[in-house]
Amino acid sequence: MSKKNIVLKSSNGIIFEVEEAVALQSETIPYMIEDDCANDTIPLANVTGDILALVIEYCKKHVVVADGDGGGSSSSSQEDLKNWDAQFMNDLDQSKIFNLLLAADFLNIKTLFDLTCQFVADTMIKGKSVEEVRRTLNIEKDYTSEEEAKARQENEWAFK
Amino acid sequence: MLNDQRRSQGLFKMSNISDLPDDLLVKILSSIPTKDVVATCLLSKRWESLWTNVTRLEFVDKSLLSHQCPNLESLHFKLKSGYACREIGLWIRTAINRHIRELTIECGDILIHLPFRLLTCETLVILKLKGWFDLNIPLTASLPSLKTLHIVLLRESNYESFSKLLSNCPLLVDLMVEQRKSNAMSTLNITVPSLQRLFMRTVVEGESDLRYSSNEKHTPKVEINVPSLKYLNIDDNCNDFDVAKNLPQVVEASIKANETSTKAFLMSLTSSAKRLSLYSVKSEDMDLSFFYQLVHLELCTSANGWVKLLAHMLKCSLTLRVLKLFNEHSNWWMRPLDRWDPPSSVPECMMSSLETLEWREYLGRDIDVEILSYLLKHSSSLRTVKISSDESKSVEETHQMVDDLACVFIDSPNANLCSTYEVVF
Repeated sequence: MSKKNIVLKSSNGIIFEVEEAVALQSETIPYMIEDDCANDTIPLANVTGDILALVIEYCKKHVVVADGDGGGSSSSSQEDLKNWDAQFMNDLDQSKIFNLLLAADFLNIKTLFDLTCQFVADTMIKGKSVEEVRRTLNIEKDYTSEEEAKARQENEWAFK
Repeated sequence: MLNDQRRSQGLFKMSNISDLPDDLLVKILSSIPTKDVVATCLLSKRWESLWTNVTRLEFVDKSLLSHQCPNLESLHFKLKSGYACREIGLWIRTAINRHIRELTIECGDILIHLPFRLLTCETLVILKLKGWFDLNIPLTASLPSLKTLHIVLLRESNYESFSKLLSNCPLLVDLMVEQRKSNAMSTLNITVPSLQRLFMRTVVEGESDLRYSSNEKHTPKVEINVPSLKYLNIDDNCNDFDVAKNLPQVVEASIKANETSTKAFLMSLTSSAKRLSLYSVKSEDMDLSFFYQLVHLELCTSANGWVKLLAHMLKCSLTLRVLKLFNEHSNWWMRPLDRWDPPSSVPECMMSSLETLEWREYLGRDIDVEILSYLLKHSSSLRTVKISSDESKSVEETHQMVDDLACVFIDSPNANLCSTYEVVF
């Protein structure tokens, strides 16, 4: 594949120029190229610059490893990649994580989407009590005590 | 349910998980254990019914009835003794109505009656029944999408209908059948042209059953006709197996059966076999030369005829890389020992390919010492040798064994070339 660059523009007007292979990890972007959205620049109306920067960082990391696959040491690079992913997610605050999830969904980057979902599930919900999850995720309790008791009763077995 | 409007708006203010659209929240919930998933209904009103759209659930009680999604991907029941087994019929019917694709039911020692409709479910791809199920298999049973079936057969009266069921599973690839001690008079017939994996096990209650069963006048029969099979695993000393067609694609076979059956299986294999694990067979009158491509061989050192079989296989298998010897602790004392007649010339595989030798539950009998020293002395490409002893040995016996082993190693110049040595006593 010849090295062609693609220009992406975030919702707040920040321009990113990336190699085609990096951008094509998104399954949405090819359609936008075909649709010939605004000449050579592809506008991403619902991804802000800081989030797009994260998406591109992720895609760059993953495209490099996909290239080096033939090198024979694929298992160790898979391991490295996993560690990198974990570190990448750990460095983000909640608001960035949720925005990243939306961006990954919109841009249709499956591995990033799964990674983000799994991270939210594992670190914010799994194994925690209802109160802990509420606190972690800033969820306001809008149940009256009767309503809560009723919901609790309906699915009683899950709260033992 | 999709919240496209919210999604297409700018995302500047999005900072709370509750701002995410429903489908993304459901996606997040899908990778959490069911118990935690259901608990999220207490978070807030927004979350109250979100979980009912998750398509993979494990361990479900009444929650299934409030579950809304029209398609249920996977359902996993784990039932404790005496726990709500009367309701399982209702759950399964609900699951079938939700087009269930993957159903696993585990139960302890309670007998469970399964609804008739389960065995005519058109959407089911994977069905795993672990435990005691009283299965009433209708003759009309048919599972047109089924690829994986794990099942326990308790009643002989099921054999005919089970055989029939198998012939009505045109896509079946993976079959695991467990039988309770079988004194059956009727024949079990496994004819599945699409089958690639077969695991069959007969569980006997107590050793005595096992020994007497081979003396019984009537040995129950299993007929096997699975020409596409790739992986075979038989753990069954009760039945006589009849192999109707050759198994030209089998690459891996583990056969623990009586001698006649083992022979029947061995003779149906071809040179595609790469890994073989055998317990008992008399090999004298057999031509095993088609095993020339074998790379991995495991033999049980308490089985009849293993010594001759080892010599035979070493000669035939030109590219053998791994040899593992193991002992079935429970019955080693029952077997008379053969004499070790080493092959007239050092087998090809020992000079060029044999890299790994493992001997588990090494007993240190004279014959074991003899064979081990032969293998170590003549295998010039060995890289890894692992020997571990039978744990029940006394201290004196262990000392004797260690002394014997030391002699064997001193006597084997090739043994120095190995990169890994492990002797665990």
